[in-house]
Amino acid sequence: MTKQPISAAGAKAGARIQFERVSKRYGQLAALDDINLTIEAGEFFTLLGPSGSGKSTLLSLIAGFDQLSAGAILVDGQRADDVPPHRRGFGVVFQNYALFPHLTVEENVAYPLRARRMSSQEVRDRVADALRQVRLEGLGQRYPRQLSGGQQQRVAMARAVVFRPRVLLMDEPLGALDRKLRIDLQVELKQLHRELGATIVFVSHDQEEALALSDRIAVLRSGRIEQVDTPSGLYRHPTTPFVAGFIGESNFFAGILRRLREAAPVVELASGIRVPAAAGSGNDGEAVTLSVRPEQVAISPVMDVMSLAGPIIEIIYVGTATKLLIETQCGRAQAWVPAQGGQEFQIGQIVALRWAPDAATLHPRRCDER
Amino acid sequence: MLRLYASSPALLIAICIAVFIYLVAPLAIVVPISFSSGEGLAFPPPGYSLRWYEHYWTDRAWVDATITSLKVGVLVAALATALGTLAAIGLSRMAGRARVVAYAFIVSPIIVPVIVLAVALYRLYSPLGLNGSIVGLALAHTIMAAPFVVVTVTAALSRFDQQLVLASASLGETPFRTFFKVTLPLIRPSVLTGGLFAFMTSFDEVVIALFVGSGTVATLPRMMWASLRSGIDPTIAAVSTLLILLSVAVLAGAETLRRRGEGALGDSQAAKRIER
Amino acid sequence: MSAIGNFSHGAVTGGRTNGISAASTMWRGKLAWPLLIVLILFYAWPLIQILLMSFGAPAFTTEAYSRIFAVPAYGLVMMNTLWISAIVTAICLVFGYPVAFLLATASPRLSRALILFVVVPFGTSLLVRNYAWMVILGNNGLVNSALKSLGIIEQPLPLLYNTFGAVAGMAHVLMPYMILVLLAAMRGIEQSLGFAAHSLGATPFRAFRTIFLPLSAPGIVAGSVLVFIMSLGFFITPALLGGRSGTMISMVIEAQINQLVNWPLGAALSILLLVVTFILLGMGAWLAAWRRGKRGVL
Repeated sequence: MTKQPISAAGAKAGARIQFERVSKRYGQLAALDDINLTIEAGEFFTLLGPSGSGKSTLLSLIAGFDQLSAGAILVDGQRADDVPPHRRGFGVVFQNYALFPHLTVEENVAYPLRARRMSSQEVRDRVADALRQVRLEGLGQRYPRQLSGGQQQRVAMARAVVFRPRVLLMDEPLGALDRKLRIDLQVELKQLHRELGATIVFVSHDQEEALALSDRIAVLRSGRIEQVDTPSGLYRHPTTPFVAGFIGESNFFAGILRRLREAAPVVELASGIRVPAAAGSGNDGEAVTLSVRPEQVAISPVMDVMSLAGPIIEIIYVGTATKLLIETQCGRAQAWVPAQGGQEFQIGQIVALRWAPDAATLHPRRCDER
Repeated sequence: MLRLYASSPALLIAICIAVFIYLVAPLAIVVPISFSSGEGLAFPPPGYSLRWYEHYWTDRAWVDATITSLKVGVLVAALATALGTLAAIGLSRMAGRARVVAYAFIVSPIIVPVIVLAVALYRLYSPLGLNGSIVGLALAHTIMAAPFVVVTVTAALSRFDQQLVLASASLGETPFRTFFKVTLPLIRPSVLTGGLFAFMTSFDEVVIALFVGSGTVATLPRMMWASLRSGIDPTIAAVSTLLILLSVAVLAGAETLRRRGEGALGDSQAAKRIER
Repeated sequence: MSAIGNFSHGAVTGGRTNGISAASTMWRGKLAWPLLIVLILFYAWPLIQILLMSFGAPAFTTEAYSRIFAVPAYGLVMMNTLWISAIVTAICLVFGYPVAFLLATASPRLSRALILFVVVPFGTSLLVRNYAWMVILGNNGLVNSALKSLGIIEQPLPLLYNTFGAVAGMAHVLMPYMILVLLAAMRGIEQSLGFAAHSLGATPFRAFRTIFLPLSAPGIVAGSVLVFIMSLGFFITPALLGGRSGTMISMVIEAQINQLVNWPLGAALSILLLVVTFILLGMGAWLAAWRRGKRGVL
């Protein structure tokens, strides 16, 4: 087991993947449409999106399990899409592990090494190393069906990394596990990434997992990329309402932007309620959707009849915070109050909602959106 | 659940018992007759002896016929298993309509009346000199036996996790070696079962053997047929008893293979489902 | 488990999933070709030859067919064949249904034990079983000896070498097919339906008549079609047990080819048999589709 510092590992161990105008069609249906993306060497990159967004399809294409309809995939500058999957040398971890049921754990992990005709001695050493790395030493002689789900998952990972691939593809590998186990394995996964230095392309529909693990994330929707950014970038500055709603939680309000000459810009919501907008916002009269995160919303007693306010209709306590659901003049909104706040709330209590001007994001509003 | 639909199952059970007796009695009768010391078909037999078994073992004609049947049977098992397994895998990779048509075509020999097949093949083989040859007969039997292999292996493939093939490719194994290291080991029980049924189909087959296997290629069923037509020779009873034993052995073998097949394929999936 | 799917479930489904997959096949379906080629050369082609021969190839004449329709004997044999097949099918259905019903509704362990009674004869050689019937039905056979010794009859009953013998033998061979097909259909009937009918006040017989029986109908159709088609083409059993009155069309074909060497006629008869078989198959399939359409997918 070799530990390498990240920068050196990135330079040698990971590969850079580029997608140029990649499309995949099934008859009339476009599973992927004109994807352009660059994944840097050594990155932990997540493809995030709901079912049917095309993220697993994209992974299949990288792995070579499927053919492109259009475009090219380059790995370290070389075209990869005309190389058959068994020659690409990428590690793949499947959601239901795809462990060979007729082989022992050891034989499973040794499989790629034997395919590369390594000497028996080296195979034995590397397999032992790999099993130690995923904390499964001593279980080598067992069969997959004798292991728990978490153990099977680790065997699948060990098998995928034992031949030191430059790229590791993971298709929702933690999806079948329960929450506690999933969080533990996420930590192990990050450590694995640091040790390996490989480029990891990770598919997930769980945005919390994506935020926790990734260097960068691409949010996909209906075969197209909505936004590519770092976790904090996606969280703080979502460029579309979809991203704002998919990553974390958001309140959405429809309104018209008003720039009065001397005052700060405001957004006029339904019923004439006005809320502040950030300084650099767009033009007067533009129809916008305003999104603001519940944890950015502050609760206070009502002081002004023109402020956004309403009765609390639901209180949910989650330990670290209290979530309040409020029926405002412009629809329902969520506000999350930290536990240390010391405030007590009651259902029916009328409160006002406020937030800092640059905590909200404005998106141009199209007719088909709310 | 029986009671849900039949308040007094007495009549039902009586009918079932009668049918079971009907189905099994003939077999039960043949066995004692094979040990009969008498010459005819009298039942119950006058006395007991092993003379008919002796007659079977010592008569050249019977022994040769048995060996011929074994040769053909083994050849058919090998051919049908190889071709049928490949066909089942090929079918699983075909697109919708082509797959249905090919599947129906492969299975159709079971529906076509055997006599028609026999006549057609006899006609085909004459100019080719394949009548009366082991190869000719084996080919004919393969056509009838392959459906069993294809159906059995297709069922196994439907339970087979295709992702294992993808996994093997991602780990660097060529498609050719993947077949032998991953696919074949996991469908092997079904392949062997198909092979067993192919063997039995050939071993028992009468009609085609009558037409195509003329003169030199006398299979065991052919000898039994001739014997049954000419006079009732109790040697047939001895042969029959041995055949019954063979059938039971094959069925037991097939059941064992089925159990083992489910163990290898099914358990890993079941374990995961039980887990969270 | 939605993001990843399993590929290809069964013989007639395709492979598209919404997860990581190999929707475009890695190998083509070429693997099926060796078998298909053997089938085409040694199965389809000979059958086509027979078809051509029935029309007097290399010439073209419908002489053989007109002969068949002109001479009453052939028509009689065909009628006889259809008649015997119908009887056999009816017997298999009437007696096979209760057995299948028992196997489907009994406890799994009992079911597994009882099914041996069906499977062991099923797997036994045809000739062995026919031989056994000859022993049982012969003039000095089991039945006659027993009846004589009980004093019920003086002369042996003619149970062999006639229609009775043929039917007894054929039903014996085909009953397992009917039972297994019915069983498969019955196993698909949900247990909870019977309980529901019960809770709604239906007597057991009413529940059977209105719920179980209709739901087993597809099995009845499939089993009957299968048994009927198979009895049409039977050769060995009627030849051994049927004698004169139990003559079936396959025996006539055999006689034409082997004894009379009248190929065009034999070929024509074969084609007719084949045509009748496929018509029945088509009717069965149509009936199945019609039922499915009427009730939605059951």
